[in-house]
Amino acid sequence: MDLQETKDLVYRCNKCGLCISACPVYQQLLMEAASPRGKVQLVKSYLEGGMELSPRFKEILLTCLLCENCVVNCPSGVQHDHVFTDLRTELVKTYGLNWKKRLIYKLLTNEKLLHSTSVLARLGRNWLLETFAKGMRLGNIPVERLPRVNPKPFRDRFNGLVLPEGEVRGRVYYFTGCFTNYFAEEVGQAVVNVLKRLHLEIEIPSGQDCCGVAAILSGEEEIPMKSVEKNISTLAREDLDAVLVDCATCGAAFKKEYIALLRRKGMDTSKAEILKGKTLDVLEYVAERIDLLPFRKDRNRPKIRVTYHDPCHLVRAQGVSQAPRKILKALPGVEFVEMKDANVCCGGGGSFQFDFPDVSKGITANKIKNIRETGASIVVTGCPGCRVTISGNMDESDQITVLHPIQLVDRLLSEETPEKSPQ
Amino acid sequence: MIGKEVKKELRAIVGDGRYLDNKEDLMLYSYDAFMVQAQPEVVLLPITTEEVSKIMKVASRERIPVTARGAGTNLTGGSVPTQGGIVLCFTKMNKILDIDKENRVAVLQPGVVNMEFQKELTKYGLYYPPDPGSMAVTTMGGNVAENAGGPRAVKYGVTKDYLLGLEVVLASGQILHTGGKTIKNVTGYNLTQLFCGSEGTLGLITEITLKLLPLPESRRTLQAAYKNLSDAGQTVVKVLERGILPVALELLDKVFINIIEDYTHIGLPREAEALLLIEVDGPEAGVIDQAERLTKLCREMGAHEIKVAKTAEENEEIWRARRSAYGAEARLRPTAIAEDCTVPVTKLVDMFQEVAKIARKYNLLIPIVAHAGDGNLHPQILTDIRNKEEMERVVKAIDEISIKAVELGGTLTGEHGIGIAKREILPYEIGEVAMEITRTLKKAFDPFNILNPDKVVRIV
Ligand SMILES: Cc1cc2nc3c(=O)[nH]c(=O)nc-3n(C[C@H](O)[C@H](O)[C@H](O)COP(=O)(O)OP(=O)(O)OC[C@H]3O[C@@H](n4cnc5c(N)ncnc54)[C@H](O)[C@@H]3O)c2cc1C
Ligand code: SF4
Ligand code: SF4
Repeated sequence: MDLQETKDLVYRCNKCGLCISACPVYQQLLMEAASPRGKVQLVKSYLEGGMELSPRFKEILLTCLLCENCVVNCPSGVQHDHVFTDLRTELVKTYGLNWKKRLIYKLLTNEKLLHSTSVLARLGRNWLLETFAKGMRLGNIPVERLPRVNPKPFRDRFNGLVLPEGEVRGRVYYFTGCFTNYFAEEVGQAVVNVLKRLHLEIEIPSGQDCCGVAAILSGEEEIPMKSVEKNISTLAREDLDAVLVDCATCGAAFKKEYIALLRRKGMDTSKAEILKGKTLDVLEYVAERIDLLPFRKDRNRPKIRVTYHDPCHLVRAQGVSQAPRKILKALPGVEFVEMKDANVCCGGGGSFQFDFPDVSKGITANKIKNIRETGASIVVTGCPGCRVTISGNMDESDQITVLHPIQLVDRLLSEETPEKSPQ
Repeated sequence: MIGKEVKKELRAIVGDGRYLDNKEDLMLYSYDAFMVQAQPEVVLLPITTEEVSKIMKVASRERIPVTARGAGTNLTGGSVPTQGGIVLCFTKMNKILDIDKENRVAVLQPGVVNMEFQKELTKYGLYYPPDPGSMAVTTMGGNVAENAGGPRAVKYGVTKDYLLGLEVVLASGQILHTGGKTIKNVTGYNLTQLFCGSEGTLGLITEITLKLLPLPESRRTLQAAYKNLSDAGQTVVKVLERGILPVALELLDKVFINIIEDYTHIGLPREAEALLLIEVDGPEAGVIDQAERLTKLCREMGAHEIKVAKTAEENEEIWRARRSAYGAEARLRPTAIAEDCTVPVTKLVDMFQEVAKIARKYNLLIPIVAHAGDGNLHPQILTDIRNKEEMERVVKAIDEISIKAVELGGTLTGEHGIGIAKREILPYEIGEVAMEITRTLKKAFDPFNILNPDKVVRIV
C-alpha cells in the first residue's frame, strides 16, 4: 500500500499537544500512548523504520474509538482518521483479524446468511448475539440489556416499495442498515411513517446489503468489498431524490469511508462520489422539511424534556450537528436541553467497548452523568451503537428512555387526541 | 544504564500499570514540543508524594538522571531525557486537593490540567488568570516549573504572581515544604519562587498552593485589523500610555491571520497586514466604556476594521482560534521553532523590523504572533528539520533574533524557558556572575546532577 499520504500527514504534526485534551481515551488513561499525538508519533517512527508492528504497537493503535475528536482539534490538519485506518490496514495484513471479529464481519457482509440466521432467531432470544456476547464479553453491557432481535427482518414487512397516501412529492431510497433490519424495527417503522407524512415514495427492497463499515474501520480491505461494490452499484442512481439512512455509521460509510477505501486500493471512486452526493441522514432530510409535518399545535400536555447526544459518525464524520437540534427545537411539546459535552463520544466506538471494556466504561460513565444532569426523560441519538451503549449502561432507576430522534417525531405526529388541560 | 535489579525496585514502587519500559512507550516519552528527541530507559507515572520520594532515593543512590514531565508541551526541550534514565511523568497525579473559597486559595497536585482547574474554579465564582496557549493540556506542575504566562499577563501577571507555596521532593528524596496559604509571608528565604521557572532542575514539585481572584463579571474582546504592521504596534504603546489596562493585547501578522483562518473559519480579515486582539474585563458598564475607548483609539491609529464580540461564545471562539496558532503553522512547514524574545513595549515595532530583516538575510519564513501588550514576541521560524542546509541558517537566525532582543533592552525568553534550546546563549544575557550563582545553586540542590541534567545550565 502506498503510505505516502499518511507520511505527509504525520509530518504535519508538530507535537503541540492540542489534540490530547480532546481525546476521551486519553482522559481515562492519562498516558502518552493513549493520546492522538502519541499515536501519530508512533506511526511516524514506524514509517521512518524505527519501529515494528509489535503487539504493543497494535494495542496502542487499537486503543482508539475512531471518534475523530482529535481530527477537529488539530490545528495543523493531521487527519488522524486517515492515518489510523491506514495503519489498521497494515496491522490486519500482519496479524489478520481476530477470528471472532472476522466471523462477525463475514456474517454482517453476507446478507443471505444474516437473513436466514435472523429468521431462525424468531424462535427465541437472539442466539447469535448471545453466543458472541458470552464469548466476547460484550463490553460492560449485561446480556439481558442487549437489543432483542426483530420477530422478522424489518424490510420483509414491505414488498420493496411504500407509497404515501394521496399526493406523491418525491422518491427516496431508505437504506435501513442491518441494525434497523434485524434489531430495531420500531426505528424503521418510525422512519417510514414520517417519510409517508412527507408524501414520499419509499424504496425499501428486502435484499439490501450491510454497509460494511465495521470491517472497513478495522482495517480489513477484502471482506467488505462485495458489500461496497454492490451498494455502490445499486444506490448511485441519479433518479433518486436521496438515499436516506437512519444510522450515522452507514451514512459515514457512504459519504466518506467508501471513497477512502477505494482510494487506498487505487480504485475508481467516481460512482462512490455519486452515492456520496445522494446520501443524507434522515435527520438532515427531515430537518429541511420540518415545517411540512402536521404536528398538533394545540398540544396541552406537560412538555417532555429531551436531550441529544451527537454520534461521532454524524457530528464529525459527516459534520451534521444543527439538523437534529433544529428538529428537536421545532417539536411541539418538547423542551430541548443540551447536555454537557454532547459531542463527546459515548465510549462505544464499535468493537472498542469489547476490546477495552475498562476504558470504555469510564467514558460511558461520563456520558451518562451528563445525560442525568439535564433532568431529561428522553435522550435521542441517531446511531444504534450509541443507543445500545447508553441504554445498556444506564441503571434501572434512571427512567430515561433512549430513542432515535425520528421515533420522537413519529410519536408526536401520531398524538391524535389532545388531552384536555386539567381544569 | 539502569540495571535489572534497580528496574525491579522502581517497578515495585509504582506497580505494573505505572511502570513502562517497552520500546514503544519509551519512544512516546522521548519528545516534547521542541525538535530534539531522546529516549528514557524507564517511564514512571507516580500518584503520591511518597512514591516520588522513594523513586528519588533510588535515583540518587544509583545516580540515575530523572527528567520530570507534565504534558510535554514545552517548547525548549525541557522534558526530553537527554541523558536517558527515568522520565517521571506527573499526568496521573492530578487531584485538586482543596478549593478554599473563603481564603481564595487552592491546593493542587502537579498533574492537574490548567483548563480543568479553571473550569472547576468557575463553579465557585473564582478565577486563576494565567492562560498559556497550551492551557487545554498543560499541567500546573509544568506551568510552575516554566513560570508559564499567557495573553492575560498584561493585566494579571504570570504563574509566579499566584504562587503561595509548594511541596517539593528534592534530589535526595527529602520532602520540602515552602511558603503557605497566606498572601503575606516573609518567613525565611523565598524558596517558593526559586522553584518557579526552575524547569525541573532543582526539585520535583508535588503540591502547589495558589492564590485566586474573584471571577470578573464580564469580558469583551475587540478585533482591530490594520493595513500596516507598525500602526498596530504603535497602537499597543498608545493603549498603555492612555491608562487603559486591557487583560490581553495580542498581535497576529498576515501569515498567522491566514493560517488560523484556514483552520477555524471564523471570519478573520485575510487581507489585513496585522490584527490586534484586545480583551477587557470588569463590571459590565466599565467593559462597555473601555471597549468604546479602545475602538476610538484603534480607529485613530489606522485600524480599518474593528469588531467587538457580541457573546461569551464568540469571545471564547476568538481565543481558542488564537491558541491554535502554534499548531496551525504546520500547515505551511513541518517544523516550527517558537522564538520567545521579549522587549520593552516601546521597542515592539523596532523588533518586528529586526525580525523581518533577519528573515530576509537568511531567506527564511518567520511570521510573528506576539503577546504585544507585554512585549513578548513569538517569531516562528518555519522550516523542515530534514533540510540540513536550511537548518544551519535557522540556527544563525535564532541567535541573531535573541541577541537583538537583548540589545533592545529585552530578554531571550519571556515564557518558554531555557531548556536546551537557549542554554548556550544564556550567559550572553545574564553574565558570568549570575552564571556562577546559578551553578552554585544547582549544585546545592542537586549535588549529583541527576535532576534534568543538561537543562538550563550544564554542570561539568
Ligand atoms: C501550542 C502551545 C502554546 C503555548 N503557549 C504558551 C504560552 O502562551 N505561555 C507559556 O508560558 N508557554 C506556552 N507554551 C509552552 C508550554 O506549554 C509551557 O511551558 C507549559 O508550562 C509546559 O507545561 P507541561 O505540563 O507541558 O510541562 P512539560 O513540557 O512536560 O515540562 C516543562 C518543564 O517543566 C518540568 N516539569 C514538569 N512537571 C514538573 C514537576 N511536577 N516538577 C518539576 N518540574 C516539572 C519539566 O522537566 C520541563 O523542564 C505553549 C506550548 C504550546 C505547544
Ligand atoms: S494537535 Fe495535531 S499537530 Fe498538535 S500534537 Fe495533535 S496531531 Fe500533532
Ligand atoms: S479518534 Fe478519538 S479516541 Fe482515537 S485518538 Fe482521536 S480522539 Fe482519541
